[in-house]
Amino acid sequence: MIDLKILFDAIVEGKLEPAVEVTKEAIKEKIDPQILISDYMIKAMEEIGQRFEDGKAYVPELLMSARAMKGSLELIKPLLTGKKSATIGKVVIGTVYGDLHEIGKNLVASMLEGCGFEVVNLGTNISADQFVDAVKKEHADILCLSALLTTTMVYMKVVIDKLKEENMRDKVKVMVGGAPLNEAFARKIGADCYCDNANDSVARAREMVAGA
Amino acid sequence: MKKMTSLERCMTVLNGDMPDTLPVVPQSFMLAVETAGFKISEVNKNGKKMAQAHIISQAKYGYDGCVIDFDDASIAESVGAKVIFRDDAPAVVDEEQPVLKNLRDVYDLPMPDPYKSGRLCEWLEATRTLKEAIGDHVFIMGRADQGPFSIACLLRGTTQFMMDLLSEDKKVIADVIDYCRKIGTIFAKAQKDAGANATSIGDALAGPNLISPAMYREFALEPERQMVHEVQNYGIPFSVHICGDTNDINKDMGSTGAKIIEVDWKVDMAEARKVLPESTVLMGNIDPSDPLVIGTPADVDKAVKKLIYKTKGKNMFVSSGCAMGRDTPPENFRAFISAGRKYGSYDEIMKLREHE
Repeated sequence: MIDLKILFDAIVEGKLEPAVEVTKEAIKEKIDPQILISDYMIKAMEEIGQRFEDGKAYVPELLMSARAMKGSLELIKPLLTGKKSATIGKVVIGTVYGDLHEIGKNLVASMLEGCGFEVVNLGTNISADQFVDAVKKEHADILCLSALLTTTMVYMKVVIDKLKEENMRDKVKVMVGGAPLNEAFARKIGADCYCDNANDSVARAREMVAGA
Repeated sequence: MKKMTSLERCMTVLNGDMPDTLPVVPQSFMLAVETAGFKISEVNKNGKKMAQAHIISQAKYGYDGCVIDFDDASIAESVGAKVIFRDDAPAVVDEEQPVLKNLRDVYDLPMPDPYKSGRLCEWLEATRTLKEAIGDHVFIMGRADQGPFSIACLLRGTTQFMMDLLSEDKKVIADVIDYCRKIGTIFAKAQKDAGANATSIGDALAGPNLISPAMYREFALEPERQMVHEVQNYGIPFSVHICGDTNDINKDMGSTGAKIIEVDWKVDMAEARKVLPESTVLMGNIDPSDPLVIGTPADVDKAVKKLIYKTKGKNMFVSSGCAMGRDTPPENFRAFISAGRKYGSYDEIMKLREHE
């Protein structure tokens, strides 16, 4: 019987190969994929996420952990289709129109995915129409908007206004983030919450789907 | 005290003395383009026109130094990086098509010619034009684009390079960053030759927002230090700017020997002043977003007052923490400069220091 703690350690330490090897073994042994996700993958991402928030791990470590997590998740995903949804919520995320920065946004996406959300990552330079269309198509619970410039963060209000226009505003929670933002700005533009790090975004996202 | 020119003001601080009033040297290159009524695409391939934007903006607002900066893509572009040009936003490196598909490709990369490769010549033309037009009374900081570690990220793709740091051969990583140091140094020296009063690098990707202080010390610090020494020995003051919260590495940055250290808004200025060598000029650090864009003129005034009180104006250039957006309201920019004059005057500073 495979020692599943190896999966936990591999993700925390950012080691792709052991993560994939153990996952393959676990699948062979017919271990419940939901257990792999909730007891090992999510716990591992929570651990690395906390280290990131505490300043004990940084972007390189988080990227390596995310890569290991994704390697494992790729193998598990096909086993989940048809079953009751294993995800705790659906997130659409993107960097706003005019802005091409994506590292922070991708880290948030990885953290959310690794912690049990289904994440649709639209990429960068996304228009309000594209955001709203994706929220509709995906029936998203949460819309995450990222910006790294003072000139592009103001576009977040355009996106929120578009949601209102399309009578979608009360159907989705809006989370915003990015270096030039703060709580006051988020409130001013009508967002539901502001997060200043990837770990916090998971906690807030969980609150938002629980409270929905 | 007799009123000084902007240039005299800045040179006085670089010499370790207190001028008639603290110099205000905002990172306002994008705002200059906006003020002149140009689009970024009209100026980022045209050094003379870029200089025009600065001339117009400096004449209108009266700050003490022009920081010439086109974008973060030029030095990478000069050695082959693909660049995304947009109508009215700064050019960026296309990291989806990285120059270094393999880290070891670095051994075949060229040395750029600052007068021929990419748009480096336009940066230098901007410096020369500005120097000729207003350089007798205004301080000119001709930036030299990105620092060694950051250039490496752009050539390799930042996400991939971040992972390389943990998984690749350390010698190859060091060689890549060393190559980047060399090409940056060529450009920095050319800024001196073009007549800049100071030059600088931005090394944001080496900051604690991305890598740990330990990794900064392992990979980025020594190349910065080497570059500082070589460029300053060539005869021009050098500045290092790292965006974000650098409280944990300010002392290291100071240890490079750079004449100027530029810090962002999250930095504790009183602490920074303590840990930096006394002769280092500290430049910063009003938040470009709040209050400079989303605050009021009164908010800006308050922030500048607090900044000056924290540092007692010792060896400092009053500045923004990072690049100011072109959406900065003119009244906020005016408040920024006039607060600098109001709280940074010789008499006010002497009063502040009396209470030490």
